[in-house]
Amino acid sequence: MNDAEFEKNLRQLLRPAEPSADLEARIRHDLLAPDIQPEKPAAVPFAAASLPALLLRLLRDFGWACAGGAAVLVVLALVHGWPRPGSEPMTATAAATNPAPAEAAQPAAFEHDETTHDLVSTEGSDEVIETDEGPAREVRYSYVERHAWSNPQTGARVVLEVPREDVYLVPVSLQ
Amino acid sequence: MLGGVSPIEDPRLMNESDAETPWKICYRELAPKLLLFARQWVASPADAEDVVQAAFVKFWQHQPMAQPEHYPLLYSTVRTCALDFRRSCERRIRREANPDAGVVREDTPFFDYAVEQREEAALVELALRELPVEQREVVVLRLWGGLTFAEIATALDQSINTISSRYRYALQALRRDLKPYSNERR
Repeated sequence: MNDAEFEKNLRQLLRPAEPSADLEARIRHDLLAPDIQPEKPAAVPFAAASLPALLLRLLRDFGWACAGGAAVLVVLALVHGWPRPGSEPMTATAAATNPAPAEAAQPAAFEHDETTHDLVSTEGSDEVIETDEGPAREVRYSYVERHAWSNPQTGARVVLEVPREDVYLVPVSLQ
Repeated sequence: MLGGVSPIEDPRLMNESDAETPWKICYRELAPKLLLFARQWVASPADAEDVVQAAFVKFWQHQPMAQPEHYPLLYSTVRTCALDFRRSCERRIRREANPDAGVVREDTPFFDYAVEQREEAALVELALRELPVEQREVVVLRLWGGLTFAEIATALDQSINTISSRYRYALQALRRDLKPYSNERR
C-alpha cells in the first residue's frame, strides 16, 4: 500500500464529527451583534453605553487612581495652604501663554519678618597676641540669630535659629 | 481589517435572507474540519465548539471580505484560541487546586465512526493520538482539513520543509503502529 492509498483509507475510515445544530446560530448571533459579548465588557463602545453605565465604568476603572490623586491634592493643600477666595487662580493655559518668573509661580510666598541677635556669652582669652596696632587679646562673642518668615495668606510662621560666634581682637591698652 | 469594512456594515454578512453569505459558505465547508482541529487541544466537543465559535467570529470580524485563500489563517486563529482556552483551563485548575480535573479527557473520540468500522476506526484514532502534537496537527490539517503543505505552513507559521518532514514522520509512525492490525486483517 503506497502513501496515497494509505491516506485515502484513513480519510474514509475517520470522518470529522459534525458540529451541533446551534453552533451556526451562535456564530451568526455573535457576528451580527458583536457588541453583545458579556465576557468582554470592554468591547462595548463608549458611544453605545448609557451615561450612568459610563460613569459606573469610569468609577470602577479609575476609582483608585482618582482616590490617590485626591489624597495627593489634600496633602499638597495642607502643606501649602488653601488659596484665598480673593486670590486670582492661575490657569494652566494662562501659565503656558504668560510665562512668569519662578518666584511668581510659587503658590504661597513667605515674607521675611525679622532677624534678631541674642548675646549668649562672651569669653576672653588670657593670651596676648602681638598685632600691627600693638598687643591685643581675643574676645569671643556667642550669639543666637533668629530669622523669622511668615505667610500673610495663611499666617504660617517659620523661625530659624542659628548659633553664631564673633571673635574680636581687643587692644590690651583699652583694658 | 481586510478591505476596511466592519462586519456590521458588510452587506454580505448582514443580508440574512441570502443563504450564501461568505461566512456561511465558509462555515458549511469548514466547520467539521475546524472542530476536529480544535479537538487536538481541548477536552470535549463542547469546548471545541466554543473555541471554533470564538475563532470564527474573530476571523470574520477582522476579515469580512475573506476568500478561500485566506482560510489557512482561520485554522491559525482556531489554534490560537484553542491554546488560549487550554491555558485558561490549566490556570483555573491550578487556582482551584483540583488535581483530579484533567484538561484533556482522552475518552471522547475526535471522529464520527461508521458502525461497521467502529473497531478499526478506534484503533486508527488511537494511533493518531499517540503521535506528537506537532505531527498530529499536520496530519489532521493535511488529511481531514484538505490543506496543502504551503497552507499548513501558513497556518502553523512554520516552513514548508518542517511541515513536510513532520507529515512524513507521522505517516511512518501511523504505518508502523497500524501494521499489526493490517496483517491481522489479511
